Amino acid sequence: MAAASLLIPSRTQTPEKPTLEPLPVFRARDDSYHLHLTPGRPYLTAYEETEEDDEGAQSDRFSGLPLEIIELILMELPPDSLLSASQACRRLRQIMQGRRADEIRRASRRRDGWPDLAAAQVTEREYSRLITSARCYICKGYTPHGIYPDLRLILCRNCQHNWLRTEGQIDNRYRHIHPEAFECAVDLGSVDVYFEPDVLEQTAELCLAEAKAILRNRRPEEAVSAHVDLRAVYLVVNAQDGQSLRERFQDSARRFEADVEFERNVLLTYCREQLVALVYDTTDCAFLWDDDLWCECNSWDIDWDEFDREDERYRRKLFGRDEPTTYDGWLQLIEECIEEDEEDVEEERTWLARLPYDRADFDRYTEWISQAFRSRNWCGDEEPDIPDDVDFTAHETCLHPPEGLLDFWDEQYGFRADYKEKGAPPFDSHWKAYKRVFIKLAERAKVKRLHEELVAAAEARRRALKPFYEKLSTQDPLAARLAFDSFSYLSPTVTELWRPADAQKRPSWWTKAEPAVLAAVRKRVEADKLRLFVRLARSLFADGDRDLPVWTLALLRNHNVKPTELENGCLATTDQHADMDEIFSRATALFRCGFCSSKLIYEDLATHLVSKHDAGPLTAYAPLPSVEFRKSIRTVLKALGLPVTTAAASLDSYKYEYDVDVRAPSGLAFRLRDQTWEQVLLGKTGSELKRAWESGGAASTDRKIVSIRPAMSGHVAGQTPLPDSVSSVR
Amino acid sequence: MAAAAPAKVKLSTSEGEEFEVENDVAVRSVLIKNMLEGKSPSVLRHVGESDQAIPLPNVSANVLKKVLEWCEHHKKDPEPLAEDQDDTRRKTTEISDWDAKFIQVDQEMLFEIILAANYLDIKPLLDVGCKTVANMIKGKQPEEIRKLFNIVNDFTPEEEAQIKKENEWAEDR
Repeated sequence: MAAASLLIPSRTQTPEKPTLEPLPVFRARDDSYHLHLTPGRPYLTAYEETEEDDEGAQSDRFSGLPLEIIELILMELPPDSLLSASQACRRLRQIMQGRRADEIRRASRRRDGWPDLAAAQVTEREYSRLITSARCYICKGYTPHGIYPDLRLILCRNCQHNWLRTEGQIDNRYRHIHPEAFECAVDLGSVDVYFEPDVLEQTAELCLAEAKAILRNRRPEEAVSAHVDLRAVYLVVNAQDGQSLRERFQDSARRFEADVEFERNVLLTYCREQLVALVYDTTDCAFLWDDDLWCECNSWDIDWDEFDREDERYRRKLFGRDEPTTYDGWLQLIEECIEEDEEDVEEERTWLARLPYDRADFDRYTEWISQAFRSRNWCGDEEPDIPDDVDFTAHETCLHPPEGLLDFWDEQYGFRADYKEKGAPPFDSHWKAYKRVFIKLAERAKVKRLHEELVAAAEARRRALKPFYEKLSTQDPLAARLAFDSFSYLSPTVTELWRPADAQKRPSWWTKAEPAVLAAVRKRVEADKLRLFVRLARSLFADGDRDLPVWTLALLRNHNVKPTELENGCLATTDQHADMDEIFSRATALFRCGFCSSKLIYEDLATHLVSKHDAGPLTAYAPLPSVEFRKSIRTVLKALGLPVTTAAASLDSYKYEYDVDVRAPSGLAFRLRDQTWEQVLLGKTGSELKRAWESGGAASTDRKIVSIRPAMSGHVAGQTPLPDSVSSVR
Repeated sequence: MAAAAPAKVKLSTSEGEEFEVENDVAVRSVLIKNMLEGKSPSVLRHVGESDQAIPLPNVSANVLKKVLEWCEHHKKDPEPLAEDQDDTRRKTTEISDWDAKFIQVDQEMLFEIILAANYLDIKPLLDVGCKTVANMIKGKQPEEIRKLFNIVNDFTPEEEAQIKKENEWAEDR
C-alpha cells in the first residue's frame, strides 16, 4: 500500500500548524447513538444474555403471563412498538435483552415484511429508528429531507448540505486525509459523494491500524491492506442491504400514497353525495377531483361577496338583463323547454286551448317568422343573445388548500379505525366546514354546464331547422309561405315556439326556444305525415288507383316491402313535403278528427285540430275512411260518368244528394236519405247538425259509411238528371 | 384404544362444573384431541370407555364457556398442516370479524382466554388473543403501555437514565 506510506511523512513534514477551516458544528455521538459502521463491533442490545429473574414480575396480568406467551405477543409487534414495550418494565426489558430477543425481533421484522440486515452493522434500535424516525439524525430537526439506507441515516436538508460531500471537497477540507479512506467509506452512488464523518472515521481507523502495526513492529501497509479488504466485503453486503431497504422504503411510500389517495377519494365521494343530495348533477361535482382544487391562489380570507357578485355577473352576461331575473326562473324555463313527455304535451294543449289563435294569427306569425328568420340569419352562425365569451376561468375550480386536512381528519376521527372498521363516514364536520365553498363551486359548474348546453342546443336547433328555413328564404314568397304552412299546420306543436304571449315583440325569445323540442316536433311531424302518406298511398293503390307518382308505385308494387321500409323508402325518395302533396290532395274528406270525428280533408283536418281543439300532434290519429266508403264513392263517381277524382272540391261542386247506408258503433245499420256532400263529410244528418248547433258542442257520430248512392228521391235543381243506371248502383 | 370417539365429550372445569360438548367442538383443543385419541394414556386411559368427564383444572367455567363458544364457531375450520402452521400464523396479521367481536372482552377475561388457549393447545385462539394484545400495545409509548396493563414501573433511577440515554434519538416518535 503505497498510499499508506505517504500518510505519516506528510504529517511530519508539516511543521507549522495548518490553518484549517473551522469544522462545522457536529455534535459528538455517544455510544448508543453511534452508527457502528465499522465491522467487528459488538451489538449494543442483542447477544448479551441476561438471566431472567422473577423479581421484576408484576402482579398485573400482562407481566404475569408465561414467558412463551409474552414472546408470542411481542412477535406480533412492529419494531418500534417492540422498543416501547421493552421500556415499559424490567421484565419486558430483560426479555428483549435475553437470548430470544433477536428471534423476536427477526420475527417482528419478517412479519412486517422488512428484510433482515445481512450486514447487520446496525443495532435493532438503530434499525427501528431508521424506519420510524421523523427527525434528522444530526441536528434532530423535524424536517427530514432524505433517507440514506446505505448509511442508515436520515438527514435534513441543512445537514445533508453540510455532511454529504464529494471526494474532492472532503480531501480539500482535511488536508491529511488518509489516501485509502475513500476506499473504505460508504460511497453514495456514482458521483462519489461520501458522508464526511464516515470518511473521517475510516481515516481514523486506518491511522489506528497503521499505528498498531508500527507498534508491533509490523508493516503498516499490511494493516491498511487488511482493513481495506475487510471493508470491501462489508461494502458489498452493505450495498445489497441498502438496496433492499431502499426498495422497501419506496414500496412503503407507494403504499402510503395509495392510502392517502384512497382517503381523499372517500372524502370527496362523500362530499359529492352531499352535493347530489342538493340536486346538483354529478358532472357539476367533478371539480372535487380536480388536481388544482387545493391550489394556493385562493384563501379563506377571500371576499366571498365578491365571489357572489362575480357569479351574478356570469348569470347576467349569460342570460341577459331582460331574461328571468332569478336563476331558478331561468332554470325553470330551460327545464320546461327540455321536458318533452306526454304530460307536458298535455299541459301544452291545455295552455293552447286558452289562446285565441286562429288561422289569421298563424298567418301573422308566418309573416313575422319569415321576416325574423331572414333578418336573423338562421342559416348562419350568429346568435347574439347567447354570449360565448363568458369568463368562467377566474377561481373556477380552485379552493384554499385544506391545511393538514388529512392529518386533522385522521387525528380527529381516526379514519382507519372509524371508517374502515365501523363503516361510519366521519366526514360530516368536514362537509359542514367546506359546504359553502363546495356548493358555490358546484353551482358555478352547473351554470357553466347549462350555458354550454344552451350553446350546443342553439347549434343543434340551427342544424335541425336549416332545411326548413332555407325553403323560407327562397325567392318565391308564396313557396316560402306554403312551406311554412305545410310545416306549421302539420304540427300544431310548432306553436310551442312562440309560447310567450309577447313573443312577437321580443325576438330574443326565439333564439331561446328549446331546439330539442323543436327537433322532436319536426321529427314527429315528418313521421306522422309519412305514415299517413303511406297509408293513403296503399289505400289508393288497393282501390285500383294506378295513377300514383312513379316512385310511390315502384315502392308499392314490391309486395315484400314492409310498412316501415316503405316509410323509409318514401323518406329516402322524397326530400320535400310538396312531393307528397299530390297524394294528399287526392284524399277526399276521408280523415276523421280525433276529437269530434268530423270528416275533413287532410289539410283542413290539420287546421281544424288546431283551430277548434287547440290540439297537439293528433294528425296520426285521424283514421282513413273505411274500404266500403272508398269503394262506394268510387262506384258512384264511375256510375255518374265523372272523373274519379276524390278531391273534396270536385265532389262538392256536383251538388248531388246522396243516400248513405251507415252502421253505428252499436252495429245498427240504417240509411240516411238526401244527404248533401257536406253532410256526408261531416258524418251528421241535418237533424244531428241542428242538435249539435243548439247544444253548442260537437258530439261525435262515429258511424261507419257502408255505401253511398245518389239519392233516389231526386237531385238538386239545375243539375243534370241522374242516368237510370245510377239508381241501382250500390 | 383407537375405538370410535364418542359423539359427546364431558369436560370438567376447575370448579367441578361439567360441560357436555360435541366431539367436533372439543377436538379443536389439541390437548383434548390427544386425550380422546389415547395419546395421553397416563392422563385418561379410560376416556373413550366411560362417561367420565375430562378434568380441566386450569380452566374456570366462564372461561371454558367462552373458549367453547370459539370452538363451536370454528369447528369446521380446516386444520392447518403441521409443517406450515408456524408460517401461516405469522402471515395472517388480520383478525376475522367474528373473532374480533368475540375477543371484545375485558382484560381479565382476555388474558384468561389466552392462558386457557395455551393450556388447551388451541393455537388459532392463542393467536387471536396474542394479536389482540399486540394491537393494544401498537403505537403506544412505554408510559401508555404501563397504564394500559397496570404495569408498575420498576426501573431503578440508573436504569431510567440509561433508557433515556439510549432513547435520545427515539424521543421524536
